[in-house]
Amino acid sequence: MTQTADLRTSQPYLSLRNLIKTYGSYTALRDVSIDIKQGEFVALLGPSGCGKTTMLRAIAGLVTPNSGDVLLAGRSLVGVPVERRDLGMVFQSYALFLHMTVAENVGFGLQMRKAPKTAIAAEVDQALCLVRMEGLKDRYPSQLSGGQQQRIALARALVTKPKVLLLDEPLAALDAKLREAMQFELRQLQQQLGITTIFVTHDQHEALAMADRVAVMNSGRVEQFDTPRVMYDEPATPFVAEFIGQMNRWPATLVDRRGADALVRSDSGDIVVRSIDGKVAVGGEVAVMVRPEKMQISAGSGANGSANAVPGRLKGVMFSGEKTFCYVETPLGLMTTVMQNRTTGADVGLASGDEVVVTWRAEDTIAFPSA
Amino acid sequence: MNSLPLWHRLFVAAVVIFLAAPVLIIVGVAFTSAEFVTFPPRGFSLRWFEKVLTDAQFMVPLWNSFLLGVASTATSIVLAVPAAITLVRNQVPMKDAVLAFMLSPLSLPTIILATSLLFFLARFGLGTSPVGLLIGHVIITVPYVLRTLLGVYAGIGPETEEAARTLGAGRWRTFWHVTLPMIRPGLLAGGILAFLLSFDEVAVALLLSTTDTTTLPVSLLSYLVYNYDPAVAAISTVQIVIVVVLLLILERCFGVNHLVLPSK
Ligand SMILES: Nc1ncnc2c1ncn2[C@@H]1O[C@H](COP(=O)(O)OP(=O)(O)OP(=O)(O)O)[C@@H](O)[C@H]1O
Ligand SMILES: [Mg+2]
Repeated sequence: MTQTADLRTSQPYLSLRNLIKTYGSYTALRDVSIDIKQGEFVALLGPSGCGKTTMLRAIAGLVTPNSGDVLLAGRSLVGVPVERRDLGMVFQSYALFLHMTVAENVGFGLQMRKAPKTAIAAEVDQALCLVRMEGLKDRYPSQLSGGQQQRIALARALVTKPKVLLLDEPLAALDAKLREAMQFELRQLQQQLGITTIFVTHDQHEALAMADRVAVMNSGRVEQFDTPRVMYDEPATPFVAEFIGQMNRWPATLVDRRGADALVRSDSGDIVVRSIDGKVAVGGEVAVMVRPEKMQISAGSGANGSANAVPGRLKGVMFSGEKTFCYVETPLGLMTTVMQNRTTGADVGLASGDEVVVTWRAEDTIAFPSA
Repeated sequence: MNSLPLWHRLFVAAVVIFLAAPVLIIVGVAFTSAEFVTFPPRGFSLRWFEKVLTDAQFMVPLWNSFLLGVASTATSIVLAVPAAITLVRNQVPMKDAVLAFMLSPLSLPTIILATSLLFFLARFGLGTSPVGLLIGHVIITVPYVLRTLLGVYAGIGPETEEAARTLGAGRWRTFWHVTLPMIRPGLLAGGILAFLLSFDEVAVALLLSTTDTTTLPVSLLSYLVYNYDPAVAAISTVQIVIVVVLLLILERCFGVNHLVLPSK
């Protein structure tokens, strides 16, 4: 495999331009445009029915968009039939050929390219080796476990050295442990081969953990396309903010802009937020959001030097292994805070009903114009 | 398997006897040495087999029936496969209506079908031609093949074929390498049904066949008008043997369990 995984080249390798797809009166893709670089691993993340599969199928040619273009290495794929696009696809159902052995399944793409038998055998061995399934060549798919079938589907898609690998929730059917192991393996394999990959998932942890960049979709639109860190810390839209990770959210009105940050007024006094969309006028309604893990909780009522503080009463404490969740009733509504349990025997030292104060920094406070 | 309660077993036994007894009686009678049909048969001889197997009166219709059965089955498959694929995978305007129309011969008494076909085909000079007979039988058998194929094909889902396309197989090669092997159980089950239906169909053959193209059921019927000897039992036994042998061959090649029950 000769593709170089150079993410710095600005030249897009795969581009979607203004893709629109409707089913009757329903619009599954609304003007989707993204540019993907060669060797990049992109996760397509979004709630069920937002159009992830449709987008993947449009790239593969299994769905014909109403308008828009798909460009691969600068050339339009519109009008190119599926079988000549040279893309590898792994379906959520794996779609293995049940009447063929593992070796026949994996060799199918090469057989269709009229490769000589000996070459096919060698390539199949190599592909099976890649997914660590050498020993099962003569089995039928029905004799394999879910995880094994998934590997065979992957090997089958990789063996023809496709230009782009399209994966539609390939890990969804696996149990949690196997899934984690496969996430790591898949990513290793992708980097080793340097193959441009689009990976559909509706598991945000999977997307954040695996991808170079994540595209978050919502009802047929790409809301944001960014690296996992930017996506998490600087969500572009309220949907992204709330879809990825957890958010405490409450309403407020903009009082003042002060250079880098802004002041908003809520039911519990003033709150300093990170810079806010220029479109919001002073006096405009905003939604304030803070992630639970960015909030601290302590006994008493002092602000402890933090920019923001809200008093409240502790409603409950939930221990969940590596984290402890605290639920605090405040004038702004129920707030969730999360604490990492870094040391043994760490305890919040608080009980339900205690008077507490929740504090957090201005940089961690996001505000969006209210919809 | 769990052992069934006694009443359950008795019930199953009763059903089996009810279904199998007529067949066993026919086969038994065929081996009689008597001049007429009696049960239990008297004596044992192969004389009635000898008679029917050397008598063109039986052998020609038997061969006709066999040919007609094979031709109807093949024609039905050729018609039903593209129809099933189109109906299941494509957006067909008024799909339900089209489907209902194609399956409608199932709900039509064959004698009415036969009568109207006779008039209709006569217009084209095909009234009692072999082609007319074939058309009549295909009308009867095609819904069965289509029905079984639809079930099997719809259950498969489009993704396997789509996977083949992404791997470089065009439409035709996808059909040949993936679709056809996947629908084979339905094809065989539907084909067997079609053959059996055609093989002992009476009404259409009665009206559309001539003395040259007469089928076994028709000639048996006319033979029975004047004769009541065990030759009928013997030729019926031959017919049963043909069907059983066919089924055994299919079972050998493909496994009838696969054919009748959907594959895993
Ligand atoms: N063939 C079709 N006919 C009509 N509507 C369709 C068709 N395929 C998809 N849709 C609709 O388009 C929307 C997007 O579907 P898509 O399969 O792309 O969603 P998805 O994001 O992959 O969802 P999931 O996470 O559940 O797989 C859905 O609302 C779906 O109902
Ligand atoms: Mg999907």
